Amino acid sequence: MNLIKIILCVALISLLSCKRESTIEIGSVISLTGPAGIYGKDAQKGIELALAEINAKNRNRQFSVSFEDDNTQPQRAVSALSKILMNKNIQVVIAPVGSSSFLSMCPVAEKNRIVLFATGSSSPKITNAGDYIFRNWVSDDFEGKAMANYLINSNKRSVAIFYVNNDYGKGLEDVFSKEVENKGGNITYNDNFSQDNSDFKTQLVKIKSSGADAIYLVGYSKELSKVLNQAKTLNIRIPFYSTVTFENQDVLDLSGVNAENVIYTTTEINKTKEDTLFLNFQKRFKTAFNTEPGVFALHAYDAMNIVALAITKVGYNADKIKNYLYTIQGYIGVSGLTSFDQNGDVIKPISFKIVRNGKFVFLDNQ
Amino acid sequence: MLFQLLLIVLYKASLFLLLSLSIAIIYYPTKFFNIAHAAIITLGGFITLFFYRQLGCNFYLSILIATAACSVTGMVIDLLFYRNLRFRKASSLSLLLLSLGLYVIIINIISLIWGDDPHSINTTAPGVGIELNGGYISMIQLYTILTSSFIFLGILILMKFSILGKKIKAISSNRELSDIFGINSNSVIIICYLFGSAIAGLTGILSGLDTDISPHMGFSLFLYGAVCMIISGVSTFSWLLCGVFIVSIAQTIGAYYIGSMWMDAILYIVLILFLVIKPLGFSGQRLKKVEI
Repeated sequence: MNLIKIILCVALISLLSCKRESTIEIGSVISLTGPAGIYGKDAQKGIELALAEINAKNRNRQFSVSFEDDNTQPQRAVSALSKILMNKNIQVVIAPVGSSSFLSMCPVAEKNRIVLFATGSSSPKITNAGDYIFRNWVSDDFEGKAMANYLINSNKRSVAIFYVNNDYGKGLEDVFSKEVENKGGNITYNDNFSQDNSDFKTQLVKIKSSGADAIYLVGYSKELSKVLNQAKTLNIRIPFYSTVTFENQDVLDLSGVNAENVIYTTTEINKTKEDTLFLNFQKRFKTAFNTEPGVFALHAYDAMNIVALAITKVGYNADKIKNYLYTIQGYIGVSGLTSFDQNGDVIKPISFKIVRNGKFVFLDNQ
Repeated sequence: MLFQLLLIVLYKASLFLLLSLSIAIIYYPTKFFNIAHAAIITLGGFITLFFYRQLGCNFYLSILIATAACSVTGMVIDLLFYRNLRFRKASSLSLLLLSLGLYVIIINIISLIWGDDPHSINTTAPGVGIELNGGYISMIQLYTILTSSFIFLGILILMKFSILGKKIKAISSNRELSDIFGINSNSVIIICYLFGSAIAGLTGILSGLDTDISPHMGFSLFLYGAVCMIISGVSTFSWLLCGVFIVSIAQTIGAYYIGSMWMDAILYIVLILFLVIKPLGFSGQRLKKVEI
């Protein structure tokens, strides 16, 4: 009798342990609040959609992502990362944050030997930030150079640059000014503003009198719309050019007609052509969240899928995942082709978009 | 271009004048920096947003309601919190800390309801400003300058010719003595809070109409007003004019010739210089204290 009970118990326990799912926990430090909050919230939706799809495909292997907000502040990003790393199970952290926050987290990730994956940080400094550092967002080297060349080719040789004072702005300013001067242009005005500044009148007056025929504006949507509005009041007719952070509904809402004809760079590829992967994703995203995916959601979605792919292939170990990521070439995703180079960086083509009639459209569709 | 800078200086000076007036009216009788004042500035903008954009009320009515609401909020804060501490002769430091706590609570409530992102009270984006001799100024900025001058003159007349003005001066000089002489210091202080908070709310609205509102706009505005007030000295309100012009000229010149990063730094350098060289402020006069 006792033997039968023991056998039954053992059978029950083994059955239960078979049914128990192994949940792979991934961490994420993300900007949900602060100036970069709108981009972070966009990225979060991309990750959540990818997560839902991955978990639906394989019931035996479930992934979970725990999000920690950095409030667009580097010191908060570091403490968020430290909090995540208290859970020793986590081997990968996906980080849709700005460059300043990301760079501050890199040493912590390197020291703890976990993979840190950026989905929207563009500073050139990230290229050499570490062995465990990856990103599927292109370095500013490309975005800054592309805009500089565009301006020179459009015969706008006297350029003013007005940028936000953090690693994102400074990185772009560095690349952009060098390229403009290399190609025979001239930077007539070079100044920055702090992340929470709201009064740009005096600087705009200075830009107006500097003789610039183009203004390169680098910042987050909060400041961009204020600059545009204040420039309009001061009757500044010089055209504005901006970067991918310009593409946000907030900018259109707050600046209205003052945002018309602003040209900006993006890593999004013109998808009006037939691209079933992207169109399907767009449909699913819209069904899930009732809004269009932004370019940050695209990259975060791809990042989540790439990480899940790596884990499925080599297991949940940071060193193995890291080595596998370096081998990824030509991964087809909704943000385009992803191939990691020896620094964990990617190369993606830069497109130009413009605001026409209150909408963001590709420049070559004109 | 110089005239354009002059217009900017004029606008900034008007904004600072309103701010420092609203802080000074409360500071003179109570003698502590009410940091919750910054929250009231922000509140003005957000309540206007609520009534105008979200409930669809008339624009001027929304401004009126918001100003009144801020006024009442200031009074309520005094009745509920500060009055008790004043009665118990708490130090200025305790009141300061209390006001800081209140500021954090109110701002977080605002953040909870409306979120951290900036909002616009205007329904349309601003167009080209009015042209004046080569410089441009928007209607809002013009209104701010007019409102500021109006209120400033009003307060000066009030202080000089009305009995209320004399009562405020008496209480600023020595509160215990005023009480003994039969001036009800508590009710005069409440009136000061009503006025000061109303002006603060109005300033928040004017600033918000010029450069959109967000939960943290109040604090930097409050600091500007406080610095102007310290630089001006604490004798009469008319000296505030000097302080605000010094600050706005220094800021604009600094931003223009050195760089925008120096706007705030210059403000504090001027403050430090004044505290070292002329600690009693521009007027150089001490409020006459009657000692028994």
